[in-house]
Amino acid sequence: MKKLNIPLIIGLIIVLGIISLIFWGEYYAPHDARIGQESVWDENEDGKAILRRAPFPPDNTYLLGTDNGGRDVLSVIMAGARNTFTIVLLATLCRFLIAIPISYFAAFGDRISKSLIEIFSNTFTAVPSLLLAFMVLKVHSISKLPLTSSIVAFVIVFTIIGWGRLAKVIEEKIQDILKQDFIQGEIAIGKSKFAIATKNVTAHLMPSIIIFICLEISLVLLLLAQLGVFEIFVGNKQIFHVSSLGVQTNSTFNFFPEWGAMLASTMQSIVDNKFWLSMYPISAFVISIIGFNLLGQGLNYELSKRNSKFISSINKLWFHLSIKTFIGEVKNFKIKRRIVMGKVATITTILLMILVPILTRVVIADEGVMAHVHELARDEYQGRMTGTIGSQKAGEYIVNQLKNYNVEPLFDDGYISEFQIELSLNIIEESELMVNNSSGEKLHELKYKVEYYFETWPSSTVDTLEGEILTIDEFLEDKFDKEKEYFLVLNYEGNKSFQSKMVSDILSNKNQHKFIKGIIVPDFKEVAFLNRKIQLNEKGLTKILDGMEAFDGGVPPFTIHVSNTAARKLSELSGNEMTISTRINHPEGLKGRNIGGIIKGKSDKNPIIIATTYDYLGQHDFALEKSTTDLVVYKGIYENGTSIAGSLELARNLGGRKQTPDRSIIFIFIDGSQITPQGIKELTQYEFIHQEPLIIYLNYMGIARWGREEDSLYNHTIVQGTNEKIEGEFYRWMRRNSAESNYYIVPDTAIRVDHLDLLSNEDISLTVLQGLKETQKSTHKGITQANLGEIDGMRLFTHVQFLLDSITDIAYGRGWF
Amino acid sequence: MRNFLKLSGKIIYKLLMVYVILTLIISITKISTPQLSRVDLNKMSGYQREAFFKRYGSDLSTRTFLSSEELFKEVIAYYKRILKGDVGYIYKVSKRYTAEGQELHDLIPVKPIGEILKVGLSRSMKLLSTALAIAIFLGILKGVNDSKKDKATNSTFKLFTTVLGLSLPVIFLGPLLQFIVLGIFRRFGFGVPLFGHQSLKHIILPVITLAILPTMYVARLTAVAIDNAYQEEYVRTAISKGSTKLRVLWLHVFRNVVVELAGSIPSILTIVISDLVLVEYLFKYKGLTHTMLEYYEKGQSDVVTGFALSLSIIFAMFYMFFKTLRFALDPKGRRSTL
Repeated sequence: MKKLNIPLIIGLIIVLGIISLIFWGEYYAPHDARIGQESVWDENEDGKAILRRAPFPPDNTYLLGTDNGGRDVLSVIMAGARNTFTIVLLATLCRFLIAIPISYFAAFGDRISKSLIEIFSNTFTAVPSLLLAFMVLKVHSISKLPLTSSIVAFVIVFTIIGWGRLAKVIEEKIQDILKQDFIQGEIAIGKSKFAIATKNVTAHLMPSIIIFICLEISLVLLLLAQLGVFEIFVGNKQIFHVSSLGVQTNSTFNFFPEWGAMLASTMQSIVDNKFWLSMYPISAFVISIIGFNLLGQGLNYELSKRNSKFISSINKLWFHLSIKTFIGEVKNFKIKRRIVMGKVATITTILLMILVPILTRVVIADEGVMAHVHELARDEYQGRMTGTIGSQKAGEYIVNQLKNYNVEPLFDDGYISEFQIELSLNIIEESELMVNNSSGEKLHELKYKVEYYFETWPSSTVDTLEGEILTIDEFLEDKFDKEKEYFLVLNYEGNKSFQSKMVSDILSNKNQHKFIKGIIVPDFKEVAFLNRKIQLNEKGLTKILDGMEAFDGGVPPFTIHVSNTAARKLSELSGNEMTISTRINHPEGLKGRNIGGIIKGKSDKNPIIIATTYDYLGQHDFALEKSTTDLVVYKGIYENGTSIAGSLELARNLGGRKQTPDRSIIFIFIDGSQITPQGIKELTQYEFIHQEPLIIYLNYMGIARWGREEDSLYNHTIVQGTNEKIEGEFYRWMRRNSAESNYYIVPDTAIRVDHLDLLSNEDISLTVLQGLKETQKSTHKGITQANLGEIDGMRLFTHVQFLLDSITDIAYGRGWF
Repeated sequence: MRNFLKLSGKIIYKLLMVYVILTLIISITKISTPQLSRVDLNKMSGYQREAFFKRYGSDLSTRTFLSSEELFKEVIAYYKRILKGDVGYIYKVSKRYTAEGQELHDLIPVKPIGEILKVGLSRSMKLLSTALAIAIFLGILKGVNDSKKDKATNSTFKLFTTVLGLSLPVIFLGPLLQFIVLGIFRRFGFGVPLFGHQSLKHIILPVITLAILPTMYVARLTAVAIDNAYQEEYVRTAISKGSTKLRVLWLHVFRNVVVELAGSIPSILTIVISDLVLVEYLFKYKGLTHTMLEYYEKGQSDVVTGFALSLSIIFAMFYMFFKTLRFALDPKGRRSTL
């Protein structure tokens, strides 16, 4: 009986299993591998409800338990094979790409290559490669990279660490081959070095290379696993996730399914005695490692047995692949019929596999979305500030578009619903800050919005405040008169935390510190910085602390923010009289105009609401800060222009359909969002909000070319009670559709959309989609820019496309097309 | 003696190579450590300034690591210090704000790295040498047991255990062992500590985890070497002359095997030291590598060079030890080149 090559068989089975996981793992995973349920309500023995938190132990639903995010471990392992082996295979490939040529040069006597190999292999033998990989990949800037660039970083590091040792092994192998007799023969007949290298050595090296590849893959896998234990893995490291029950978790796990990331909870699993967290992923690693090792050993055995045949077949490979041969075969079709047919069939299959998915994809949204963006960027709309003509014009534009798209008016009296905005804010028209000496002579003056600003004003009846300047040192040394009134100047040349503690101290003990009228805080250094701080307060909107006045007849201390240099100047002028005066405009109530359209469905229950804000900051006169008299129009196309465009494009596509959707689709454009929550509050007045709707709030911030490298949208979900099912269903559709266009929907805290909390009393599901996540807020700089060229039309288009797909899925049922 | 010198020279050359490469890597990682980027000397106290000058030279007023020239200076300064036996300090970074709101970082030396290095080194050596000693002892026993000697066939079970031991990595064995011990403790109420480094008890689990792979390796080497030795003419002669099995094994076979073993062990040292990193982390054993990673994570990148250097010194020491052992044991080897 022929002896079976057991290692080869077992190895092949394991490796084939891995390959199938790479291709189909995510599709056949029993549960969602990206998002899970973090907490469930359960009953304890007394019948009381208790909240149980992930990780859940293995049970019938989750065969291998769940991880910290409540995701099924089995599913993550299945779906994670693709990411894991992308890194592993890429790293292996790169190692060989570097090692093979250099080892060839070294084996044929090149000194530089030889010493290169020597240095690299020695270094990474004496110092464990794990340590070095740890040190480099732990560096903050590398560890925070998004998935794709993170994979690249890992591959680069793995390659640098591993190629030297590999090159040494290959070099030795080549030298072995060169020592053999037939090479002497080739030299004797006058073959060049190059010919020997390409023809003889390569052919004899091939079997070893194949074996080395298997072994190298298992080495890289091992390194990846080890790094995983040290909490180093590709992709984003931490997800601040607000779960469906409002429980906030902040756990280390990777949103992208990947094996290395699963090992990050190894230490936690040991400490908490939750073996399923780590042992199953580790087993996945170990089985793969053993699989590739066995395959290598089995191949080694097979190839050394029939060495000669393998080598000659490699030499024939090029012959069989060349077009010349194929033409020759076609000419002798009668004899070579089978070969020709086989080749043609193979080529056709490959072509079909590539072409069919490309040709059959239905594209339903078109680039019209950018037309809306261009329209909204026009100066005519004056930055769409609530209550201005520009805003009205923008509203008219939106209404006209909705009409054109066969979207019916939402409200009884048309598309527009007007409401009164009761402003709790007031507008500072002008302000002056002067320092005079005792004889009334002017010593110094600060410019409003350049050197100082304030966000609150103490009283609506008082428009001038006076007081002596008091420095912090004088305050501490009790060099003041309690009967007088003072402005306390902080400057942070001392201990910052101490001083800020003191401010809160003063504010909380107002009775004792009644003599302090205001606190002057230096917290910006230059105009650019100031601009960023008050950009949302461009209009000088100011809260009046009325009502606090009742507090013992006095005025509570208020805070003036000044620049650092100004603070220093003021403290030098201590003891002099400071006057700050303002002219406050108490605007009459503004009229807000919410716009709404509806596509009526079969049922009024559970409508889908696509909401976005459409007002913006208006225009601002920069004459104060610069010598120019430019009027800057805040077009807000990053901020919500793109969202309006996306919403309109959705309306165009959905409105043109003949079928009636299962549930109504409502488009809402909210006004007044920049000043007051009134516009959103107004939503609660409308009837449809009580039908347990699903609100999709578009907030496409950051769809610009300078945005992230990763193509992902951040999804902040706030689910209220009963509608969790619809929201979850929509989420799943959205995820599947986005994956088709290579997008990721990442559950993450979105940048706080102000006032959305107002809806929390209603029975609604709310999902916010946006292009930036909370932590990227600082890089969001698009507010004042109006450069259309920076908007990534293709990206926006893709967003709208998959949103459209998802809405179609949930409103018309999958398979509508 | 000449051979010995040659060997030492070679190792020192290799160590130097390692060091040069390492320093390069560290300087690359330093580019991105932000906390050293802005240091205002004028605001430093005398002691701090002294430490700073000692560390970076006196001609720098402000420094960033972004220019290649300063990187080079840094590396050179580091060499100078290390030649004096000063591995550097653990620094505390304290934040300060200037009047302009600029954030400044002062470096305050807290503790010499040499101190923590010594502690970590002794712990790691304890772990490594115990594990290696156990591995060699048990491995040889298992190897002798596994070898077919002059029998015709080999036991599949014995071979299987060896292969299994060789293919299961520490990341699997360590947690597995911990879960088993934890399970036993929960069930029966006794066990050994899982984490720590304080007592001799704490060393048990790490040593077991660390020793399994080299044990199996040594066992396999021994078995193969014994089987080979039994093919030799002189052994066959001894057997045919009627020597007892034990006598043949001890006198004729074993000595050759030991020589071969001593020559082969260095090749597994790399894996063992690499495993040491993991074992120390998994068992929270504050040895050399665990301490180093801990400090590195806190931003003390200075720690790396000193620790990595001593790690390669450990490697070199064991390497030298086994090479010398082989040199001393093997009469043939003494004549041939090393």
